[in-house]
Amino acid sequence: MNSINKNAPIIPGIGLGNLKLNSHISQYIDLIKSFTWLDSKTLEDKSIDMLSTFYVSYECKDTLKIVFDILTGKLQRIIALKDYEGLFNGELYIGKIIDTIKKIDIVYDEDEELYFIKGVEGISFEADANNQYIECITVYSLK
Amino acid sequence: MKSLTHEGPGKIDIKTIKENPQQLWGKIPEEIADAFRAQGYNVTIEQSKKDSGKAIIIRPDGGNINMVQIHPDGGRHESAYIKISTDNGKLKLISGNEQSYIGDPYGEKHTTVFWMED
Repeated sequence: MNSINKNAPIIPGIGLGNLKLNSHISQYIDLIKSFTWLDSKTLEDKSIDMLSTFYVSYECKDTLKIVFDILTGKLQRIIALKDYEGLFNGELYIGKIIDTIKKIDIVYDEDEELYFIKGVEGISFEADANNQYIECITVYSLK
Repeated sequence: MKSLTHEGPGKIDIKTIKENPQQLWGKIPEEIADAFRAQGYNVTIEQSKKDSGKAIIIRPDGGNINMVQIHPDGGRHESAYIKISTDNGKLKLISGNEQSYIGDPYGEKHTTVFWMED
C-alpha cells in the first residue's frame, strides 16, 4: 500500500508526500479508504469531493488532497495542505510568508490567482485570502 | 439561493455584462459557452488543474473577453464568484456582499466588482 510521508520534498510535475502524479487510482484503494472522516452531524464522508464532472478529490485531513481524472484513473494533481511539512527547493513550505520569499523568483498571476515560479512548470502556490502566506501548494501533471 | 436555469444568457460582451451582471449569474458553463459559440467563437471549457479549487474556465477564442472563470463557493474567499478577464481589465461578479467575502475584493488591479446579493 502506498503511504504518505508528510515531510517528503515537493517536486514539480512529479509529486509530493511520497505519492506520484500520473499513477493509477488502483494503487491507492487502501490509502483512500484510510482517509475517511465523517461530518459529525450529517455522517457524510468529508474526505471525498467531486471537483467537477470528471475530477474527484480525496483528502487526507488537513495534510493533502489527491485529485484523480475519472476518465483515465490517473492522479492529476496533489495538493499540500496546512499540516504538510515538506519543502519545495528547501525554502517554500505551507505557512511561508509571501513577502519573506527572497531566493526564489515567484510571480503572481492575477487571472489564475496563483503564484508561480519563473521557468518552473508543474507547481503552483495558493495564498490565503489576504495574500499574506502560502496556504496550499499544488503539484500537477504536465501530461 | 438562485437555482440554475436552462435559458441561455444571450449575447455576451463587456457592455452587456456591465449593464446586467445577472446575465451570467446562475448559468452553467455550457450555457455560457454556447452563448459565445452563437457569437461565432470557438470555446473550450476546462476544470482548473493547477490549484486546490473547483473553478471551471471558459475560454472563447476571439473577441475581447479572454476567459470566464466560475468559482463555486467554499474556496479561499468563501463566496462564489465569476471572473471575466478582458483586454481592458477584469469584471468580478461576487455572491453576497462585502461582509460575506473573505479578503479584499478590490485588491486586484483594473477590476470592477459587482455584488450579486440575494
